[in-house]
Amino acid sequence: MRALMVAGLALLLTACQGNPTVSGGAGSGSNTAKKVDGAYPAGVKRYEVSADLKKPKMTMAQAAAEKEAAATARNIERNKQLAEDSAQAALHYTQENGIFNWKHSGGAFNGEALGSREDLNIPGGGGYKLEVAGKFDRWDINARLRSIDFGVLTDKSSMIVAHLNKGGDYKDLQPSLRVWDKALSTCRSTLPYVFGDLYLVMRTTNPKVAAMQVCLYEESKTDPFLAAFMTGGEALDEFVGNNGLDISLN
Amino acid sequence: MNRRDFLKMGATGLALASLPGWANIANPERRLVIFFLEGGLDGLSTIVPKLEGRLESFREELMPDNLLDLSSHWALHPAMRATHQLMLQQDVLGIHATSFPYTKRSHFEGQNLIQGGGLAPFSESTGWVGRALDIASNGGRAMSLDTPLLLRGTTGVDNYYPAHVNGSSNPTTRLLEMLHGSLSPEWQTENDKLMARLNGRVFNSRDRSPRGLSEEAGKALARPDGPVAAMIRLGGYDTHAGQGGKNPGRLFSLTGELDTCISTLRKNLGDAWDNTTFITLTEFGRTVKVNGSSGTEHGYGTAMLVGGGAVNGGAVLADWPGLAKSDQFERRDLMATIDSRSICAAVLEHTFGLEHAEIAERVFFTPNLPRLTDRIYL
Repeated sequence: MRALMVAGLALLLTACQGNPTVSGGAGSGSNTAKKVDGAYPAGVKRYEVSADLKKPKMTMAQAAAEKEAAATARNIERNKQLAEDSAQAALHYTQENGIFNWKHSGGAFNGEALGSREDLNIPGGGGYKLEVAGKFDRWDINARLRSIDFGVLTDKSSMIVAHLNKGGDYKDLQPSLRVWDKALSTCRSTLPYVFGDLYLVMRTTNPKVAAMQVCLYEESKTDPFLAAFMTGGEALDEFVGNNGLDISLN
Repeated sequence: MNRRDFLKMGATGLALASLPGWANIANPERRLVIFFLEGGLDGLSTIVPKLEGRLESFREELMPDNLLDLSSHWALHPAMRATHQLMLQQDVLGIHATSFPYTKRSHFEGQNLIQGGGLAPFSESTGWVGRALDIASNGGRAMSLDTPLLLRGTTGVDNYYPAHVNGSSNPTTRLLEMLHGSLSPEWQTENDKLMARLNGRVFNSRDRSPRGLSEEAGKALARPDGPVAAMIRLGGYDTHAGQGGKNPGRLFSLTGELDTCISTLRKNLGDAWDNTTFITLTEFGRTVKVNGSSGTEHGYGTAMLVGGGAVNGGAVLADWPGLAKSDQFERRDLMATIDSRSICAAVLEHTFGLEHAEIAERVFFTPNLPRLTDRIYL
């Protein structure tokens, strides 16, 4: 019993020692003392950043050198890609002063404007649209013409978007749409596209966009309607121009 | 205006400390920057302990979305994108569950204690950085009376503190030029430094925003003959209300501002970043539980950031105490298990080439202060 009392008293004294009342200084605060009494470093654990997130540690000079090397590599790759795209674009575009102009013209489009120009209300950008109705050979189409500032995607581009007329021969055009979708996938098109839209980039300052358009043409030219749309593109463009529309982007 | 309103004003400021020309310091190229976060930083929302399952139950509305992951255990506040990248690049280290040993939760006592580095608030007339500079340089001289306590030394160091004084932006150096010839060589060096400063070559900006001050500090410290230490004061961390969490609140702006200051400092230091250490200091942490105003009350344990080219970053150092009620300090605050003075001592040891024992004894008056230098530096 006496031993128990002594042990209890010792415990009480220990508890009191660990509860200083003076603010400041090592060990103030009730639970602080046991934690900051000099014994804790053994308990300090280093939790590393996940290996998949961690990047190599570098001096500022090393970081600057790596940044420059990466920029150089990017430039080399970009120039190589630009050369390849320009060569690809040259198959169906004429290039003058950095502007690629679509050079096919079948003169196949006839039509008229439907209504007046409508603002596209693009957040942070500009653009408008106007619909025209016309014919490519035996096919009736509604061409929804858009003027959009595509920014870095296409730089300055003039593009005709045609939405297929759901009346008339629409059902006959389903195979054409499938060919078009496949071509878009093959050429990895990133241009805005919704089901039922066809587009033809008439002019662009971006060789990558021109190269992609050439790819689309090559992938879809076996389809009679798509071939007529592509080769008649310049006529459509002229028609639009003749109706006082400016579809050039700037 | 009451005390709390004053703290909310979030006054910013920059103080630079230089050594006199004749001082002989071990590593004269090394620099120290202290971001002084006034008001009490909520460490639990800054470096979020994902390892702690209870946290969300205490403060769900304060838990930010889009945390910046560090590991399965920790994440950074979403406003600290630049700092996050620096942590991934192993240039910044997080320290958690840390505090100066001060538990009374008073801003003025706490701020005085973490600047003075003594054993009790208002016990010291000098600051721990100032005392370390004194030991490292064998003294210098004071050039400004409104130097923050943190940088004040017993014999004084060459300090600069920008003040709003009419005409101070365009002072004449004519008097100093006249004095130059009559001074001894070492005083001529000091005279030249003063003229350079007055000519605007050291500190020539009217931009007193935190970002602007960080830019100035970086430029000044990057100079081979520039100051060796700087303190940048950022206010407003007393987030009793509208702290933010799911929706950006005050802490989002504050941590974003700190993040900008850190990246701006690094950019303007350039190669000197490799020889610079920055740390964040705050007087205390905040309560674990959210209060009725979508904020937190004054607490105890908090988090620190230590960064720089020589820092062994890319990790969080902690002896995690847990957040069960019984593990909380006074059943309300995060327990501090790392004495922040150990971090400060490590920074002084590295930056000024002092012995840990001397720092513990003469700077912090705590001979048994644990040494963590090897845990912080490469």
